Amino acid sequence: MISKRHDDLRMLLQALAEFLDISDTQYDAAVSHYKAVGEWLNEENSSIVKHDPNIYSQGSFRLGTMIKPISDGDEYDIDLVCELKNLRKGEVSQKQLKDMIGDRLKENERYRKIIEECNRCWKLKYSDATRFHMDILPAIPADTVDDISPTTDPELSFSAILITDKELREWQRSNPIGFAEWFKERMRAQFEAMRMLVAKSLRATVEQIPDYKVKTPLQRSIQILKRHRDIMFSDDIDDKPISIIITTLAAHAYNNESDLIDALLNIVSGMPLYIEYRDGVTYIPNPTNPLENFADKWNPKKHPRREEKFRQWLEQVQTDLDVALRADDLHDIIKKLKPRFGDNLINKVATTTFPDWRSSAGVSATLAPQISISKPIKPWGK
Amino acid sequence: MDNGRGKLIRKQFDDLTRIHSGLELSEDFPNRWAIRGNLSFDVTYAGKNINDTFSILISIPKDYPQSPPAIQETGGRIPRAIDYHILPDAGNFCLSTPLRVRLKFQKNPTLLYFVNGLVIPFLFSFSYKKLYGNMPYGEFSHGRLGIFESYQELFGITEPHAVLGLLKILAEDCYRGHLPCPCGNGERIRHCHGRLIREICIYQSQDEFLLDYLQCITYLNKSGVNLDKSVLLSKKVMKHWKRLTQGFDKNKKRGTESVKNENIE
Repeated sequence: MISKRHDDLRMLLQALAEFLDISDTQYDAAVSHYKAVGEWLNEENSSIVKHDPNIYSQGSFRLGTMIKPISDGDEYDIDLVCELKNLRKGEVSQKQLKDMIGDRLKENERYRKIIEECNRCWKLKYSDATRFHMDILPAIPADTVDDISPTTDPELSFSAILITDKELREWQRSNPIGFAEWFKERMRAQFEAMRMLVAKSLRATVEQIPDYKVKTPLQRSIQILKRHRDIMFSDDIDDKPISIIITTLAAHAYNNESDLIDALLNIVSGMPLYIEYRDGVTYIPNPTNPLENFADKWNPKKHPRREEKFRQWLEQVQTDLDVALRADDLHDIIKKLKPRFGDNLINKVATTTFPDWRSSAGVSATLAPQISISKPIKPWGK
Repeated sequence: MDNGRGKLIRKQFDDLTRIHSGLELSEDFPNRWAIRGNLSFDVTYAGKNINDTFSILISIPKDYPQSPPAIQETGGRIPRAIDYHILPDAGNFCLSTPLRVRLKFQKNPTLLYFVNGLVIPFLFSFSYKKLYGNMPYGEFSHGRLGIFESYQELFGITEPHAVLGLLKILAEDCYRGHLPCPCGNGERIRHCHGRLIREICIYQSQDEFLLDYLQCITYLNKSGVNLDKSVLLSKKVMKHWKRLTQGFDKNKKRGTESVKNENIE
């Protein structure tokens, strides 16, 4: 019976991750939205076209680990980089770079209405059906030795960039493409194998299958972990573990398992092993820049409980997986998953995966109690 | 360890399941309680009998029983749309305006009363409408108009200035019993609407009344009602409101409910 529970849970978690994923339509819409931004920046009469603006995605959108927001009405954050390829550090100040891109965006009627400045980026808040919030991060290439972290894998250094920050005097280093390459490398074996399978099933060649059509157990696990975190920290936003930490640790711990549950179990137990301590400071190095600490906000003086809460959360995930694997039956699994991922989502997932799960519930025909209604209040709607 | 709130919830839940046996209590996370399961009822109202069952989720807020629980249907029967009095985002029922829900709930702040007095009437009206095409006990309009209507009904008057005059006392927190009642019947407040005002003022914060007040003004302005100067708020209150909305905007990212400026335009 144990393997049956395992199968049911795997199917549910797989479907859960697919539900959390943004749809192909949304993916295409996001790409066409940001390509339109790129075209606007690259128009002939654009003030910055001479600097060769390049726009590309970064973060969870690039990694294929994005998830839908908890509430249907919430926006989708999509992170982009706008790199001016022909500019170098000595030729422009942080403010100039930020303004150059901002000014050009504001010349567009549509963007002017939806643009907002953030500490490091320009945010376009689309109010159309997509509800995208596109964070556009102004950047220039980092090609002097100083600006590329000395310990960085040389293969990843080609994509290093410098970015602006309103509150810091120094240019900040970043390397979103390098990070994505590292991430992909961590799941290479599974990725290739699955891409081949997808290609076969679509009777296409491997090259015809774009990366985003393939989702490895690592990506699925991260999506599931992120939603679990969203629910558990829904009333503790301040100490909610950030996605980059989850993503980095999970990618380290992943061993190219092909089974989603094996992957999740291994990832969850392995993640803490990649938390380092350097001179008494908790350290989660950026794989493309080991001098950058993703856990720099875990400073025990400012946020004494963040690390503890992160570890508690991982333990909770582990417990939840164990409990689900030891559940009595399908109904019990569904019941156990609901508080963790949201009733509505789990109901949808269960109904899609096991269309008649409700009917097998053996709903005992309890006698409906007689209730009298007195002085009812009228419903309203916001 | 069970704290006082946990004990209260368990005790109230026992009373609830004695009547509604299809429900289960769960502490999803420490101090985060929810009730799930099937809720059946057999209701006769206005000569019509309906027997129905819904899958529901009741979420108990951190400050329960000061605030009433939130409730949603989880079987996919009620569309998540405002026309069905469901908040599309979270899927929670709009049982009524927040003030009306509190007023009703606080008469008997227990889970059993919440279910029998608020949830079942709501579900009954859904089933009733499906069968007969209309709402058995009416409904408030959506949005600001609905807020205004709810105060009209609460105060038992319809004239906009009279409604606003009474609501303004709550919004500015400036009850003076000896002044003439804004409803215009010539009596002093304390002999007229005063009792009601003092009764309801504890169920919402001044800020919430202020927000309702501004919603009503916005609605009336937009629908072309000529309002006179008596509706203007004192400088002190407007200043307070400004500070409040700025604070909200700053906190938006942190998940605080944002109150959009459009409300005061």
